[in-house]
Amino acid sequence: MRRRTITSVKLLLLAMIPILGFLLIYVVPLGLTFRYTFTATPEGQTWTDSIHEILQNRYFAAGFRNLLQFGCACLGAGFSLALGLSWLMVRHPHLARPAVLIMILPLLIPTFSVSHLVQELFHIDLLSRWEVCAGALLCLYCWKYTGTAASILYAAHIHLQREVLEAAKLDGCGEWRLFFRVRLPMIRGQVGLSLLFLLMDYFRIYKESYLLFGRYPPDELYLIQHYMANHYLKMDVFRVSVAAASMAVLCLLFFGVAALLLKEKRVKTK
Amino acid sequence: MKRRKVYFPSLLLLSAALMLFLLPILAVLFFSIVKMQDGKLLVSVEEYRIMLQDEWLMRHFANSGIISIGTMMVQLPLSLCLALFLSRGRGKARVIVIGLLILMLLMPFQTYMLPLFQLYKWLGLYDTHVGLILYGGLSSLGALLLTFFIRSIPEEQWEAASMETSSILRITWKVILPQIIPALVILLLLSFAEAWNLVEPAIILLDHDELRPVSVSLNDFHEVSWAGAALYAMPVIVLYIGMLLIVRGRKGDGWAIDIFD
Amino acid sequence: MEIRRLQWIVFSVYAMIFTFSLCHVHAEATRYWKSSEPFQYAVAEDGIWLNQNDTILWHQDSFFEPEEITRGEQITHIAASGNILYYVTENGSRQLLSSVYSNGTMDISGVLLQLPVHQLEAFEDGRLIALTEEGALYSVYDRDGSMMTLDIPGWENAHVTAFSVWNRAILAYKADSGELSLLSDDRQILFSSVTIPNLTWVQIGDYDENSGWVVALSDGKLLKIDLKNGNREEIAVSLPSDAAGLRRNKTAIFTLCHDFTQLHFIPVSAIDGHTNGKILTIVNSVGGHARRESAVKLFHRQYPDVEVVERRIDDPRIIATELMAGSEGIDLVGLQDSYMPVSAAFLLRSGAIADLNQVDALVAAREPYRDIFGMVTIGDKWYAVPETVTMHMWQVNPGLARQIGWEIPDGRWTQAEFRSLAEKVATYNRTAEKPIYLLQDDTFLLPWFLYDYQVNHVDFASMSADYMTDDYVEILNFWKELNDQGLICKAVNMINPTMRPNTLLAAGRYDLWELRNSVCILPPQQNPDAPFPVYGGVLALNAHSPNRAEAEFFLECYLSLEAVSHVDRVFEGQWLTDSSIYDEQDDWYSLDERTAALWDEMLIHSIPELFVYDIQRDQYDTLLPALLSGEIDASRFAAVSQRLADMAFGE
Repeated sequence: MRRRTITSVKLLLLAMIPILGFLLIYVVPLGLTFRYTFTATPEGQTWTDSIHEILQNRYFAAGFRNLLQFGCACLGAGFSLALGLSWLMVRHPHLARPAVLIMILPLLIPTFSVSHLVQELFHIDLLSRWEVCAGALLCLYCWKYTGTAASILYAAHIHLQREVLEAAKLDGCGEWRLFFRVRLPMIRGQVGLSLLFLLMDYFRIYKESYLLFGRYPPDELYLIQHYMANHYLKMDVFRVSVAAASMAVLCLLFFGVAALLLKEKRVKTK
Repeated sequence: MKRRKVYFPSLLLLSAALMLFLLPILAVLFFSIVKMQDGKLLVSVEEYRIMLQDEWLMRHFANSGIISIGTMMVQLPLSLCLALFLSRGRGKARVIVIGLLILMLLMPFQTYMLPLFQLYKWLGLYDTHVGLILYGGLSSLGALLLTFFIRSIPEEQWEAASMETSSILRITWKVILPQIIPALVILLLLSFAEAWNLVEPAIILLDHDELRPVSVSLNDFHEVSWAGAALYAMPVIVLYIGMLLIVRGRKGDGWAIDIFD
Repeated sequence: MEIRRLQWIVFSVYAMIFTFSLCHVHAEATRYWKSSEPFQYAVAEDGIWLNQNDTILWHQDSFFEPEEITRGEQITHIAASGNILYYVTENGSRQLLSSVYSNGTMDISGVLLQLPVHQLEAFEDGRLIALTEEGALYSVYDRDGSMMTLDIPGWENAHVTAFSVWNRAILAYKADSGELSLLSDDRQILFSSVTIPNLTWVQIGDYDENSGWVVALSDGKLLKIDLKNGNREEIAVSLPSDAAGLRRNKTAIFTLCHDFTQLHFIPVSAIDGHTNGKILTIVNSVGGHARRESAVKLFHRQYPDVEVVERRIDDPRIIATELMAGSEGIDLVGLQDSYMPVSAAFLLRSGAIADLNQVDALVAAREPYRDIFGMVTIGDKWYAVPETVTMHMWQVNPGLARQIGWEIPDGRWTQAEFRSLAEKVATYNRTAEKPIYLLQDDTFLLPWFLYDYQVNHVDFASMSADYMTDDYVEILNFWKELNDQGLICKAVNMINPTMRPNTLLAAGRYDLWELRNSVCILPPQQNPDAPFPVYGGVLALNAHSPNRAEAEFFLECYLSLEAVSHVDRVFEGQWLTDSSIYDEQDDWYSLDERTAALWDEMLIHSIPELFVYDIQRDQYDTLLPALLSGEIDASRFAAVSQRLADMAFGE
C-alpha cells in the first residue's frame, strides 16, 4: 500500500508540469472570459436585463438548438457508419490494417484543402437549400472523424473472447442477433469511448462550417459557435462570454449526467 | 482444414468505402495538376512552380514546420506524463482533470481568445513561435489519447515491473512504451496535423508577417488554387507515409493495438 | 531518486522556455515596407524613394503602393534631397549622374562623374557628397559631374569607410583607426575625439556646439554614441544581423534588412530618450500625410513625451482582439467598411468605439465646420472623424443628352424620373443608327440603387432591415429589365474606369478630383428628401484605450483648422464654413462650380455608407448574377437578403 501511495504521489508530481501549463494556457483564460460575464455588462443596462435579453435572443437559442439537433444527426450517422465499417473490418481482417491506415488520413488532412472540393461537389453557395448544406457538412464530418471511431470499435471487436462468441453461435444465435445482443454489449466501454470521440470531434465542426458557409450559414446550421465568433468580431465581449459560459454549463451538465448514469450502471453490474 | 469464407458483397462494400475515404485527397491532388482549358485537358505543374518560387510562401511553410515540429516534441513527453498520472494514479483529482481536458477540447477558441492574448502579452510570449508551440503542445488531445491506450495495458504488468524497480521512468520505458508505440505514432501525427492546421491562434498570437505559418497566409486569399490546397496538405501526407514506413519496419511485441500486426 | 532528477530536468526545461520567451523583446523597429525583391532606398521628408530592379519609385504613404517615377539602366546608388532623387547609373566603367523630381520631371540626365563613387549622400538643399573607392570624401557638382575634395583643416580626408550627411554636418568614419568625426559643411571639425572599432554604418543623431550623439550599426547591433565622451550604449531594438544602411529624415532613422527586402524605421525620439514610453498608436488611417503631420505637431505641444506611431493591421480579428484587450495596441483606428467585415454600427453598439459626442472638446472643435458630420453619425452618436470622402456621383454625356432631348437635372431627381429616362433611351435606341447605353455601372460593388434603398429601409441605429417590400422587388425587377434590354454596361477597363463614349450616364463612387472633367448629376433617389450615403476613411477612438486622454486630444488636433487646412478641397470638398482657409491651398485646378455645388449637397445631407460586408459580398457575388441570369427572381433575392440581414442584426 505504501509503495502505491509513493508511486501515485510521484505520478502526480510528474504530471504537475503539464497540468499547470494546461491550466495556465487554457483554463485560466476561459475563467477570465467567464469573469467578463459579470464585469462587461453593456452600459445603461442592468446585468439581469442584459442576460435576459441574450437568453431570449432568437439566434442564441437557435445556436444551441441546432447544435443539439445537428449533433444528433452527426453522431447518429457517424456512429452507424463507424459500427458498420468496424463490422466489415472484422469480416475481412486482411483489409483491416490498410483500412485503419486509410481512415486515419482524413483526420490529418487540413480541411482547407478539401473544402473547395466539397463546395464544388455539392454546389454550395448562398442559394443552396439548407438540406444540401447540412448534407455536405454531415458528409465532411463523417469523412473526417468516422475513422477514429471505427478503429476503436474494430480494436474492441478483435479483443473479444472467442469462446463466448462460439458458445453463442452453438446456441443457435443468428448473425444479427449475435451482433446486437452479444457483441455490442461486450464492447460497451469502447462504444462509449467512440461516441465520446465522435462528440468531441463534432464540437469542432465550426471550423468546417466556416470554411464551407462563411460567417452566416443557413439558419438551420447556425451554431452557438457562430454566435460567439460573430460577436467576437463585433467586439461584444459580454455576449461572447455569456455564450461561452452557457456552453460550458451545458457541457458540464451533460457530462455530469453521463457520469452519474455510468456510475449507476457500474453499481448495477457489480 | 479451416476454410475462410470470403464474403464478396461486404468485401466490395468495404473496398468502396475505403475508396471514398481516399477519393477527396486524390481528387485534390488530381485537380491540382489537371485542368480544363478551352475544353481540353491540360496537365501542368506551373502553379506548383509559381508557388515554390514564392519566397514569402516558402518562409511561411518553414514557419509552419517549426511550429508543428515544436508542438510534436512538446506534446509527446507532456502528454505521456499526464496520461501516466490519469491512468495509473489515484485520487478524485483525476476526474476533475479529465473533465477539464475534455471541456477544453469542446470549447471553441473564441471562448478564451481574448484573455489568452492578454496573458501572452503579459508573459512575453506574444508574437513568438514558442508561444504557439506551447499552446499546441499543451492541448488536451494527446493526454486523452494516451490515457485510453495506457489503460488497456493490464495492471499486473505494472505491478510486476514495480516489484523490480521503483523508478517510474524505468517502468514506463520497459513496460508501457513498447506497447503503445502505435499510439505514440498517432499522437505525433495528430499533434503535427493540429498544429499545421492552426489558423485563429496563429492570427491572434502572432504579429510579424515573418513569423506567420502557411495556414494563415493561405486563408488570406479568397480563391486558392487546387495546387495551393494540395501543397498545403502534402507535408502532412509525407509525414504520415514516413511514420508508416518507420513503424512497419519494426516488429512490435504485444502492442496494445494490433493494427500494425 | 530517478523521479526527482526527471522532475528537475523538466522544471529547468520549462524555466528555460519561459525565460527565453520573456527575454524575447520585440522591435520598436517598425517595418515601413517590404518587397519580395531587393531594393535600395533614400529618405525624403515626406516619403521614401526606392530603386527596385532599376525602377525608381516614390513611396509617399506606407499605406499605399509606391508610384513608379522613372526607369534607368543599372542604377547603383540613389540619394534624396527634398523632392529630387539623384541616382547613379553604371555604363561599363563609367558612372553617370541623373536626377528626377517626384512628379516625374527629369532634371539632370546622365552627367559623367569625374571619379568612381562608392557611396552618395545629399543634403536637404541639394548639395551632394560622395565617398570614392579610395576612401576620400568629395563634394559633387551636379551640373557637370566634377568633384572637389573635401578640404577640412585638421582632418585627413582618407581611409573613410562610412559617412552620412544631415542638418549641415557630415559624419565620417574610418574603420581601420575607428575614428569618428563630425564635420560641419563650412569646413570645420565639430567633434573628432572619439574612436570606436567595428562600425559598418553611421548616421547623425543630434548635435549643437557643445554635444552631439550619433547612431551606428555594428555587427547587427544599433549603438548610440556620444560624440563628446565616446560613451556608447546599445539601443534595445531587435534588428536582424544583416541590417544595412542608416538614412534618416527629421523623425526617423531607416535601415534595410532581410537581404535588402524590408525597410524598417526607428523613431529618432525613441533613441533620443525623450519619450516617457507612452505611445499613441494610430491604425489603418487613410488620411493625408500632411494633415497627420500637422496634427502630430500640435499634439506634441501638449504631450511632447508621447510618441505617435502608425500601424497597419490587415486582419479584422487582430483589430478586434486589440481593441477589446484595452492594452497598448490601438488608440485610434481607421474604419473603412469595405475591409472591416463588421460595420462601424456594431462596434458602436458593443461599445468598442467611443461616442465622440461625449467629449466636449471634440464637439467644440466642430464649430468651424459645415454640417458634414452626418457621414460619421449613427442615430445620435458621433463615432469618428472624417478623413477622406467618396460618394456616389453620376456622370453625364451632355452631347448624348442633347441628342435624345433630355434636360440634365441640376439638383435632386427621383427614381421615377429615372424610369422615364430609361424609357426615353429605349425608344431612342429602337430607331437610332447607333444605339446608346443608358448607364455604365462602374462600381465594383453593388449598383447604386441598393445603397439608396438602404438609406430608406435599413436602420443601423435600431439594427433593423426591411428588404421584403414591394419597392425593393420593383427596383430589382427594374434593374433586371434594364440589363435585359441591353441598356446597362460596364467600363471597358475596370481598374481605371473611364466613361465610354456611347453611354448616357456612368455611375460610380468617386472623390471630387476624379470628377474634374465631368458633367455630374446626383444619383436618382427613391425618396427626394433622403440623405446620401457617403463612403470614406474615418478615424475612430478606441473606447478601451489606455491612453484615452491623449487620443482624444489627438483627435482635437486632427480636427483643428491647421490640420484640416491640409485636406484638399479638390479631393474631399469644402468642409469648413470659412472658405478663405482654402485660398492658401495650392489649387492648381479650380473646381467646377456646378460639380462643387452638387458635391456640397451630398456632403451636407450625408449619412455613412454602412454595410455588413458578408451580405454585401454575397449580394454581389451570388445574388446579383443569379438575378440577372434569371436563376432567381426578385422576391427570392429579397428573401435571402432579409434572412442574412436578420441574422447579422438579430444575433
